[in-house]
Amino acid sequence: NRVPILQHLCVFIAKVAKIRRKQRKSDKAFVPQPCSKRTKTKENSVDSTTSVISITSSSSSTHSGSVVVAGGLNNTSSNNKRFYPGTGAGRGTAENETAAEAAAAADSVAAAKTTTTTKSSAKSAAGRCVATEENETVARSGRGRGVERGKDDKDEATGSESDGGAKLTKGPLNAAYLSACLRTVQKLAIELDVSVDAKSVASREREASGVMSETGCRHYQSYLKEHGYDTYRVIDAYFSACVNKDARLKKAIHCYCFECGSASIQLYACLHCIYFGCRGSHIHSHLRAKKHHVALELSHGTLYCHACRDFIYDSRSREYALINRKLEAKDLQKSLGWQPWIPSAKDSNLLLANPRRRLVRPNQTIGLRGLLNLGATCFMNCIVQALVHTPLLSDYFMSDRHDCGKSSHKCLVCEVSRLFQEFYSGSRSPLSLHRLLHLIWNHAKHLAGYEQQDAHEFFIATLDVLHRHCVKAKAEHESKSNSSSSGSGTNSTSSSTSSYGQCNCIIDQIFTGMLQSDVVCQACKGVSTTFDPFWDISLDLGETTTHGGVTPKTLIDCLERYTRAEHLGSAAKIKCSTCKSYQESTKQFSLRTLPSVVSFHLKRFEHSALIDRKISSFIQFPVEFDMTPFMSEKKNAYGDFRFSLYAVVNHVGTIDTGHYTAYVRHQKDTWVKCDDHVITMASLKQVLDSEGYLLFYHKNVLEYE
Amino acid sequence: MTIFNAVDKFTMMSGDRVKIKDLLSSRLTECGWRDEVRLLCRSILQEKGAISSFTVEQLVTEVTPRARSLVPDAVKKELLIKIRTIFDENEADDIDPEEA
Repeated sequence: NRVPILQHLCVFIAKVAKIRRKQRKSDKAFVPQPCSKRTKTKENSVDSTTSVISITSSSSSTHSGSVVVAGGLNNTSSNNKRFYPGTGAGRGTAENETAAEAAAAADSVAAAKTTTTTKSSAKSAAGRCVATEENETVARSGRGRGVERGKDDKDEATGSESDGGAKLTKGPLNAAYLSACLRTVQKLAIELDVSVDAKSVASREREASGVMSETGCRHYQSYLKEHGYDTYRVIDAYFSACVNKDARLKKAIHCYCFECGSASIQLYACLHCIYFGCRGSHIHSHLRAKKHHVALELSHGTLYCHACRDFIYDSRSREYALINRKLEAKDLQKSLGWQPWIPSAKDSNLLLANPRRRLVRPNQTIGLRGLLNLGATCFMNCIVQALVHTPLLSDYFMSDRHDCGKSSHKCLVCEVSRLFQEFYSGSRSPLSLHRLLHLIWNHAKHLAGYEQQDAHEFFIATLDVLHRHCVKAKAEHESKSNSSSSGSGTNSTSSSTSSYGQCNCIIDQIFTGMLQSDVVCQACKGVSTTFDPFWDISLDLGETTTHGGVTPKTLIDCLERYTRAEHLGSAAKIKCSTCKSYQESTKQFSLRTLPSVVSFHLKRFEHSALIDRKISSFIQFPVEFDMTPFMSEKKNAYGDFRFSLYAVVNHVGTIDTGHYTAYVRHQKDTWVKCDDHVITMASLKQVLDSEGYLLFYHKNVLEYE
Repeated sequence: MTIFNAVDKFTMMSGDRVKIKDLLSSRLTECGWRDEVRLLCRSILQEKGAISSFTVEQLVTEVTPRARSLVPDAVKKELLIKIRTIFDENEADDIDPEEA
């Protein structure tokens, strides 16, 4: 299995090395000819510019007219082959450059397309490259042209390299090209602003003018006066963050040390001229020799000032960098990488005003409060304990992020916010939840009264009410801020309700996942897929009817059963959208997206026509587990779906009468049992040996945005 | 040009490199490496901070070898496996459309 990869890597290595050799040769052989000077650069930038440009000059002069061949990857028709007329040495170097880069692009394609059939022209193209190594064979990707003409990239995954090739006609790495890049970046940034994040940019700009504004050093300030932000912006967008395919290709081809030729891990780009150099002596000797001050460290995108001998931080540059990182994340459909926390003006003022800090040590009880039973309200107490110990929820409420204009005694979110304050106040006396209960009664009528209620029902009702209040508070807050400052809040309404009808209130951010159900028609095998949001996953515990009466014994068993394809039978025929007739079909659930907190509801209470009963069978559940097998897209190489248990709600008693308790994780490896007002230490074994009714799992690794 | 460079360039073009980098940085945070290195920097600065000529470069040269040795083997192994699967998958993707 490994052999073809190695083979193609070797081909790839040979190709790139060849280009490098030629390049170095041409560097020596040719007197640099300035072709397009940057407006502001002095003569020192010219040599570096031309050193890139003259990659193919030497070879094309000796082999003028030996260009060609096209490798459509799976296009066998000759129409896709594109013949280039021979380019003389004197004629535009830009064209030669294009050819050489196309060769590199095609090489990368060849490297990517590992084992292709003999029919594939890609292989023949690659083969020819190897055979005629001394000639300058330029392979142009056929698909690349197609993309260029058609301007649509249907096939992202396979078309990526060749698409990059298509854009190469724009020219070499010089000032003109960079200004073209700058336009691309600006355009992309504008698109991003409108579609995604106009609000946060606005708020960041406000912050920037506030307390924590950073302006780099005086050298950077004078650099900015002369050059502005454009160079920084485009270098960052193309060689540090790589906002699109073209940028990635450019980086792969041009990003190497001009001194030693290695593409080592930490490269610096001079922001005064076109120059890349390794960390240490290479970039330093350049900066010293040319008296340039500012360079950009490319692997992290940090600015470096040679005069100060230090890294510098400038808030406006950082904003551009963030936009570039967002563009990159969007282009690659990944989450934003780690970003440092920069306190807002409000945060820093609060921290300054309250200098007293509380150190949380192990074995401390802060965050634990017993809850009084107000008459069969244990169903509420156990859910509140689980919610209070949800890390993300406590982060939200403890940082006082709920902003509700109206009087707090009507809003459930405000009440929960107050509860968090109570839990962490340090007091050890039990709390009474009468206000919370009253609010729930008002908003979820079916739970009102002094009867025993189902904890799961209460949990869902609470989430629902909290969610509704969050949406309402947000809408009110926005309409208020809109009327007061009409300028800033114009496009904020779009962010409150995004696609899928899912909002981004804290409840949805933490608890909402997406369930995918695929109904497969048995006649035509057509699949119709629907997506449904969920807050929890309810799992059947009884005997399966179809698979020989097996009873699940573990949580994993239950989940396997939940995600198994289910035959809907002849009694439940569904109209198939493809073959337009009623057909038997199978239905299968899978998890499209997972929330940060997954709660499992084990259906221990069985209500049937004949009998209502409680299933007390032992279901084993893990402390940590990986949800990847139950996801819709298992092949996602970067998704991390590991979860850890942090709360378990138990029910003791019968279906008619009983008592709820909760085990919650208080600190790492410290578990406590919450039984109304009594809180006792518990071991992990006790937790895992308990029956389990509601299980709460928290995602181990959270993604940014 | 080494195999290392080729892998580097290839992943750079496919965009996998950034994702691998993200994965690495989250693993290093998870395993506490980031905190360890932070403490290391802090202790060095406390030791030598009095010397006014002590620069970032000197700090980096001093920290780098120690920080490198602190990276857990499990993290290195996982990344290696990940890079390998990326190449395997690319191969699988290529075979599919041609033979189907």
